[in-house]
Formats: sequence, structure tokens, C-alpha cells
Amino acid sequence: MTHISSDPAREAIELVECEARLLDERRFDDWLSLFAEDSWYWMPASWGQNSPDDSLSLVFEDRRLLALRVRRLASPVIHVEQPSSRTHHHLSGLRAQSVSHDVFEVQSMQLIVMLRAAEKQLFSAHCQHQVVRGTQGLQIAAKTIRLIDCDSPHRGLAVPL
Amino acid sequence: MSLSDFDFSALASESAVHRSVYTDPAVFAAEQARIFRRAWLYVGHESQVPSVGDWLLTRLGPDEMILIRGEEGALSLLHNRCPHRGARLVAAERGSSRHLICPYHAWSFDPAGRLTGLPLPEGYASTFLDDASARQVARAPRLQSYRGFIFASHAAEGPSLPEFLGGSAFAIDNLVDRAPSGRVTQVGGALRMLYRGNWKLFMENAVDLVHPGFVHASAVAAARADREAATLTGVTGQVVQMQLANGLRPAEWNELSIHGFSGGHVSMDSFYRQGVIAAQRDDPVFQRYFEALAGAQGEERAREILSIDRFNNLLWPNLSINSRFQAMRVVQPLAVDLTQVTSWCFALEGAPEEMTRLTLRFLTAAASPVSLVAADDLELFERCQRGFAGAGPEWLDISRGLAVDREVDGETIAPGTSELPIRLQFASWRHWMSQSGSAV
Repeated sequence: MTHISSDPAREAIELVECEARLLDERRFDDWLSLFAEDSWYWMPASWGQNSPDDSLSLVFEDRRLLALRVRRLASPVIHVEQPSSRTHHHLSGLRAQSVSHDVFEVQSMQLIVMLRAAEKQLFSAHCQHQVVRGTQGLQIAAKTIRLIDCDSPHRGLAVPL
Repeated sequence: MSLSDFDFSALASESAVHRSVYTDPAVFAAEQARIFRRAWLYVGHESQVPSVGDWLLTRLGPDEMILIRGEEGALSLLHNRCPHRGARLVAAERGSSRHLICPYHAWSFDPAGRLTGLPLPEGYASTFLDDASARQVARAPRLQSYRGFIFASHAAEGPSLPEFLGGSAFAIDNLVDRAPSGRVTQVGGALRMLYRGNWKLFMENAVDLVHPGFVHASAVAAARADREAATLTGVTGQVVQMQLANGLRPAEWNELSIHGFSGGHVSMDSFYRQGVIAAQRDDPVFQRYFEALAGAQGEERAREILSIDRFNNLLWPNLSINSRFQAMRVVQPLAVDLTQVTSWCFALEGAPEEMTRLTLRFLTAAASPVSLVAADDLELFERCQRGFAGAGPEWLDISRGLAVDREVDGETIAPGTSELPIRLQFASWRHWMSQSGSAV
């Protein structure tokens, strides 16, 4: 992909759009490469949860564990992904705010339609991406996915949302 | 003959079960009546309702209940239903109030469920309020705390809680004993999973030591590709070690013992041997914890407490406790083919805070629906449920290891790969399901 805009806030938003596209295309290795070395991925399990350290989370994984999750997705014996799930990420309300010279915070609303075993599931989330500019260009330093039903019971899920 | 008299015990023999125990709504209805309306079931922890008026929405079998602390600390378990027009009294997950006031016509009740006020009393006959029992919020007849863990039963009579728990009570003891102060606190919210399968599938799988190598093969292989990560001492190393441990060979699983108790309760040895998840940890956090425990209990007693190295402990019918990781799961049957599993964890009072962080992450890695492990377990439960519905053998074999079960000191002991846990749970199921009665 190429970033055609020179507006840094616009670039940060485009990175978030690109991330969603890679998930929909199931290009998980490319998806992982968007994450910075010391990045993390968080899905809180309670409404308004402000830390992964004092409460249970649906997911809290650093890049090393995210890499494990992605390697698992390539396995032929990942039962919950037979047949492979499909997703459409519908993004809206994208806003980027500069936190410091090289750090942006991007907010988005995401409606994720998932097809798994011929059945549609719907996830609605408020997402927060921290985007940093490093030697590799823009990268994701942190992604937080706040599901509207984070505290409801959910069925098994293997792919990152 | 009506179903209320039917003896369901013929559906489960010592070596095989009929598939209808997983699929037939009539069997499910009988389970609700004969097991979940009679047995002692876990309803909450004392730390969730510490002060007078504190209440918590919970379930006792099929019914939604309010666990509430009244004057002088007494706990009550009330049906969430106004005796007037039947409205749910509360709708939030928890709250605190000296009175429960029905939102419909403002009948109010004290924490014991007694009617304390209502509008327009002059509209009733003078004898109306004399029939106090009919104007109270209905309550569970039996409620008892075992070292802070609150159990209740819809049945006024039956075995006492200590009789019911039998040998399995050690799992609660060991969890509480691990706290330097002798107290644990429920912390960190809850995790909730849902699967389209029968409730018994979860309980059977929790002590099935043949499935991990197959069901979790993808996570094992992914973890083996980065063995260096397993040497990390923090939460990341913990998650990687958990995946690697599922990759034991059958002979290694067989070196573990399964411990069966009367009443359908089962305990398994832990299989965590390496790194931060092993019982023999020596990292700085654990050293500080050991000093705190030894300071409170003496070194010898502390070593004795920590030497109990079990993994899942099943308290039949629907509770699973992992004392070492301070975690608990409750299996809630919603329909014959729909089940919710809710998990909580506990902080050990007096232990370093980092211990709580590790246990929160342990449970996230083990019991979240997005867990690398649990997602595949849930998938297999759904595959079993769909499989049962198809053509094929009506009876499912549960005999592996039957010949080598042995009785030792009141426990039934079997090697790790035995199907003893399934047989024991069905032995208890037969016992309760063969008893008809007015509850059906």
C-alpha cells in the first residue's frame, strides 16, 4: 500500500483503514507487521474498563502473543476456523488527534460483520488506535476494541477483530 | 406413566450413555427439576456483598435470584420477583439498599424479603397483611457459606452442604488457605462464554486429558515456534507456557492422577511443570508471596498448603475451581443445547499484587471466548451437539480405563487418560435423576 497523503493525521487514519482491510482479506502476517515491536492489543471485558491489569479482559496480548495468535491461524487444525471465517469491517467516524509530534490517536466506530460456519454474527465496537511514527514509517502502538456487548456471553472467536 | 415418575437412570450405565441425555428437552427439564432445583449450587462469594444492604443478581438453577446482606450480616437469597404483580424487583447486576422497592407499585421489602410497606393499604381486607408469608418475596430455603463461598438449594431437605461437597471441599479450602490473611476477595469482573451444546459437555471436558493434544494442537504448535517466549517470567511467558503444557504425550498425561469423590466430584493433578506457571516457582514475586504466607502460617504449613498441586477441581454438578490459579467457573444450562460459562477470579489477601495480575491474565488466557484454547473447546462442544442429532450409534461409550480404576482412602484414583471423570459425573447424575418427587 502507498500513502498518498502528506497530511500526517490523514495518514494515521489511512493506516487504521488499511488495518481493517488486511483483516478482511485475511492477510494476517501483513496485519501483524503494522504493529510496532512493543505494541499491544486489548479487548476489555467490562464497560468503561480502564486497565487490563486490575480486571479480566477478553484479550490482552503483546506483539509476541499476537504473533502466536497469527501463527495459529495458519494451522490446518484450528477447529474453530473450519471453514475460515469471513469479516467485513465497516468503519465510520474516523478522527485523528495528535498526541505529540510523532504520536496520533485515531478513534473509529467499527461494525464488524462476521460469517462463521454459514452464520452471521455482528460486532459493534469503538476502537482506539495509537499510531506512532518510527523508522519503519507509521505503525500501530496500541489497539483497543471496546465492544458494545463486551460483558455479554460470546461464542468462540479466533481471529483478531 | 408421566415423565415426573420416569426413572432416567437407565439412560446412563457405567460404561455408556444414551445420546438423549444431551439432546432431549424432556431430559433437560427433568435435570432442572431433579438436579438444579435440589442440589447445592454456588451463588456468589461473601466479598461481593460485604455490607448491609449490598445485593447481587445471581442464579439458583433456572431461577434469577437476589443475594442480599441484611441486618447483622445475615445473607438471604430472594427470588427476583415481586409477590404482588410478579415484576422483577431489580434489573441491575448489583446494588446496595436497605429496602428493595418494586418499580411497579412500590411495595417495599427488607433484605430478608419481608413486606415493609405498600401504597393504599386501606384497599385491602383487614386480614390481607396478616398472611405475611404470602406477601413476602419468596426465598431459597437453604443458604450456607463455606469459607466465604455461598451455596444454596431450592430444596428444603436433602444432604447438608458439607455432606454434599464431601471430599471436594478441599479445593475451596486450598484456595482460601493460600491467602496469607486467610481471606480471598472476588476481583476483576467476569468472563462469559456461550456455546450451542449441552451443559455436561463442558464439565466432562474440564477433566478430559486426552483432548488437549488434539483440540489445542494449533496453539501448541504455534507456541513451540517461539520457545524463547516461554522463558519470560511475566504474563507473556505464562500464556506461552500454558500452550506448551497442552502438548504433553499420552504417557505423560497418564503420569498424572485423577481423583474421584463420591457425589460426582473430580479433581486432577496439575500438569504445569515449567516456568512461571509451575508449582515450584522461584521468581521474585513468588518468593515474596511465600514469605508472606510463611510469616502468617509458619513455613511448614505454608509448604504443605502449596504442595497441593491440582488443576481443575469439579464440584458436581456445575462448578469448576482452580485453587492454584484462584479461578472459578460456573456452568449455567440455558436450554438442552445452549450453555453459558461464567468465570471469576479471586485475590489472595496479603499476597503481592502481581499475583492477582497473573491470575487475571491466566483466566483471560484460559476462559475468555477469544482465548487461544477455549475457542476450540467451544467449537468441539458444538460439533458434539450437532453430531448427536445425526444418525449413528445411540449409545456413547465412556469405558476407557474402567478396568484400572482403584479405590484408595475413600477416593477413586485413575491415570490421567481414564474416562473416570465422565463415569463419576454420570454416577451422581443417575442417583439424582432416579429420584422423582413433587419438585418435578
